[in-house]
Amino acid sequence: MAVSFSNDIMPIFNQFRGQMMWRFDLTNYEHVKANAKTINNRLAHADIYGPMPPPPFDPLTPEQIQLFGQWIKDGCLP
Amino acid sequence: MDKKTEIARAKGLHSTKPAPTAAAPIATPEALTTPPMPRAAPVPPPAPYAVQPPTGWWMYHGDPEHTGYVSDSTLTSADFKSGDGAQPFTTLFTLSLDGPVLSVPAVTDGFVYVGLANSQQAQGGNGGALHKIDIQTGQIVNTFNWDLGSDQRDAHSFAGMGCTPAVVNGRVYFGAFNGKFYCLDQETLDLVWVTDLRHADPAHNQPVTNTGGSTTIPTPPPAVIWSSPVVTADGASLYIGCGEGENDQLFSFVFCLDTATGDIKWLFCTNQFVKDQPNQPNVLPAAAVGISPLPSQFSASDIGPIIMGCSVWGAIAYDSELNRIYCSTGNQAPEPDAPPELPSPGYSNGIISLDATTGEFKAFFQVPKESNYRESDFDIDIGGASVVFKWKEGQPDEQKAVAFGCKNGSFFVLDADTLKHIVRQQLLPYHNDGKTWVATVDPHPADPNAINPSVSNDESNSTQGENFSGVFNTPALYPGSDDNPQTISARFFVGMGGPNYHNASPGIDYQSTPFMRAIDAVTLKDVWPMDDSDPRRYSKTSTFDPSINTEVGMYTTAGECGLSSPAVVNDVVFCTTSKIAIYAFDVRDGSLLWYDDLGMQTDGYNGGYGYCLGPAIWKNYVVAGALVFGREGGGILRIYGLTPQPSK
Repeated sequence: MAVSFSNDIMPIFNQFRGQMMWRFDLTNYEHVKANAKTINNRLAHADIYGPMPPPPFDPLTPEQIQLFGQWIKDGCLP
Repeated sequence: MDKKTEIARAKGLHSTKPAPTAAAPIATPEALTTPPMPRAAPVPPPAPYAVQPPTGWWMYHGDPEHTGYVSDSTLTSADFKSGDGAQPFTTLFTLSLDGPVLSVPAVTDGFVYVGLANSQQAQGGNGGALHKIDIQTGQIVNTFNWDLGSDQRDAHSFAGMGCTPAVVNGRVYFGAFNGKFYCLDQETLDLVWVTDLRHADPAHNQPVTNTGGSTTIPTPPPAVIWSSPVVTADGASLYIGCGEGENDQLFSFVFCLDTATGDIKWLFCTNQFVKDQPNQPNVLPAAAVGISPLPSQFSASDIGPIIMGCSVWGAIAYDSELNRIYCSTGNQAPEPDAPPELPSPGYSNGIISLDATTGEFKAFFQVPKESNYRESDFDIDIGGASVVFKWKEGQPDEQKAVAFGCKNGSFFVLDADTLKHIVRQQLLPYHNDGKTWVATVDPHPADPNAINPSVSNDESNSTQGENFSGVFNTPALYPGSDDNPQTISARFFVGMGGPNYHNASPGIDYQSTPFMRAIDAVTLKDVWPMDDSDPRRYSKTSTFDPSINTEVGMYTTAGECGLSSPAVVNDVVFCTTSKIAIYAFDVRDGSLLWYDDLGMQTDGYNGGYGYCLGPAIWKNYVVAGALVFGREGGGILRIYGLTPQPSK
């Protein structure tokens, strides 16, 4: 089954919503879709930008990062 | 005439010509959408000059000299003291905004003009907004919005704006993170003109395309405008910096624009082309030429530049007497792999002085290596603006000078004509022997991801690192007064510490470092009374608040930084911090008069901090905006003032 924002992505991002509200709403489909490339780039380059999310949170797991990439490949379904 | 009156009179120099009798044509926002930028409307007539100079905080730090001093207010320290215990000075309005505030608002003529660094209302959350707010009702009366793609944000992921608008002659001027510089109608916030400073804009005589991509950064930041505009005394020209110091393929420029049309009058590239040879105005790197043929006013250089970076981040200061502008520059790019950073090539880490009419190079000063708190400091930057003032005013050896703080912790006063060094003071504390570093000040951990690092002096001194404890802001000048019960000498107030939003920059060492220094304007030595601790600390800048059973003020909250620029009104100095809080101190001795928390303990990164920038002051109103981690919308704006009196 294709990865969807409401079922797969938003539940992961919801816990970080407050900390990211200065930038955009991580639980808003349109906001995340519009910035999907940027988010994916940050997640994929922890060696340059540092872990994401940064401390004191634990970074996303490789499986979660892969899921986000798959969501983009599937066409950013709502 | 006391010094406050002198400054007020000097501000009156902006009034030279009659007021307008007819409104200029107004363009529509649709002109924003189609590059290359067409002229948005028929050429408007030249901007009329003001009959009366603007009042209050009408541009960055209150005036073109950026003194940060307001004299057209009756607000004094007495307004924070009341015999019956009631606080006359209080919060009037709290506005929850749809995005963070990362700039000091402008406040004049009864309205607040404040920008959002990101707007939740923009398409995909990528864009910005400028609000006009009635200061007496707290209501937003007009908004100007802009959308942009997700690939146009700045290096820190901001897509809106981060400067203080200049509000003068019926216009609102500001630059944004999309590299565009806007002129709006002050009444309606309708677009009058917009000039693109990132891409060539032939309709506005703008020849530069500055879009180079770094080979080392996966998503290289584009050229942006952080710099706040400064307007000349006759209202005909304004100055702005545009660049990006973190992208080693981008150039940096100072632009002079016609305030009436947005056309470029001249430009100056702050990347030096040839070592020991001053750049000429209107010469741009061949790689930055964006139009062909190049207008005859401009020429291209195939030589150099010798170094990239050198971006003008802060506001440019202007002195009408010398007809000069003063531009603070950032670090070189790329940074050296090993210390020392200084001396660095080109116009990096210093102040450039240019002729305000022609852009001709006049002088350059680079901060010396010995001014670093630690020799291993790098990414030095002059983040704030210079203040133009008279050093030793009223004495036989009085001279026009510029003062500024540096991220390396030092504060400088230079001759305004030559930029020769007059006096310097390191503002970060040493132990009382006067030479030993405080180990917890400006720590450089070998592990860059260390949380709240506390390392030895030996490790810090051998590990290259950015100084997050130094000066990131513009000082505020109290000009001195002899009409108070006691004579008060001229003094500067300087915020200490930078961003503390991530683990690598945990804020200043709050137990040894005040988040604001009060220093004599001549000697740069501390002017507020200090205790006998090691290192010595101000003795009156904190107090016990019985309402929360806690000590508040300086030296009480871990990591609390004075990132923003202090502001002075009569005998009161305001300072905002990363707690997030705003404080009022007595300029005489630092007695804490009042404080307010805008976003304490918001559970953000590294303990719940954010930014509060400002304040801005107009008459008896004080305004501060903030970026608050964890807050819905991410932004807040508070308007403070005297408690309204019931009508009789």
